[in-house]
Amino acid sequence: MGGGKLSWKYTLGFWFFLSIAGAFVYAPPAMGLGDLARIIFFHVPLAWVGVLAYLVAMVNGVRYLKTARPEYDHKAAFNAEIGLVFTLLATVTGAIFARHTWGMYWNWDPRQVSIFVLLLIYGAYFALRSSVENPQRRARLSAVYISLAFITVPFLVFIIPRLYPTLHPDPILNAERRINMEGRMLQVFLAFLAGFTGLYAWIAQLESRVLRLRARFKR
Amino acid sequence: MSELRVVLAVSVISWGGILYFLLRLDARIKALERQYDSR
Repeated sequence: MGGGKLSWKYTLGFWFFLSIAGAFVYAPPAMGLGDLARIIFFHVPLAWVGVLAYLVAMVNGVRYLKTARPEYDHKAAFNAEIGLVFTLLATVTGAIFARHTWGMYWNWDPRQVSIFVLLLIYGAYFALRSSVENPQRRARLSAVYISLAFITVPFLVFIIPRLYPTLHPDPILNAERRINMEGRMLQVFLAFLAGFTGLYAWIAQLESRVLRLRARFKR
Repeated sequence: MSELRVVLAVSVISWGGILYFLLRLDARIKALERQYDSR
């Protein structure tokens, strides 16, 4: 398992252990929400990675449409997969938060509706992929779909939930474009944001390498 | 406070598991890459 290339992965592993310790030992409980606020360290970075993966999926979809190279189709697909998993985890952590603050896991709050629609949109991408047998046709249709699907992301994640009254706490970057977070909480939050981004990079790299191996062994 | 310790322990163990899984997966992929390169 050794080797220089793995060292950043060990660093990431250690970084996460430190961040977890920071989340439960170093960061103070938030005013009003108490210890429950610590879920934000996981919930927001999970949602962030979801959006990032959808963006990369869209970029690869566009690249496929330009070049028709199958690797871009595969990259778009696995990034959409990663995005879906992380969005699902963000939904679950959000529901846990809702249960303890609003009394219910799910109450069709605008935030919950918008993330649900997002999950449906990206879930439909995989339904589309599995319904077309011809690989070229599937790749072309999927590339168009994934590119257009991303247009909905800023609306569903950033705009629509802000247009309607919601029980969801103020976003990290609030309407006044300021971050209202206690200093130590902010440090831990940023550490998790960086950590989860690194984790996404690692998972995407693993998927890429598997893809390359598959192509090599097929030859 | 004790609840917080339980969540901390669960988080550490979960991350340890995920990390172990990812490192093993990485190592297996690396072994396959080497196998291909040595052909």
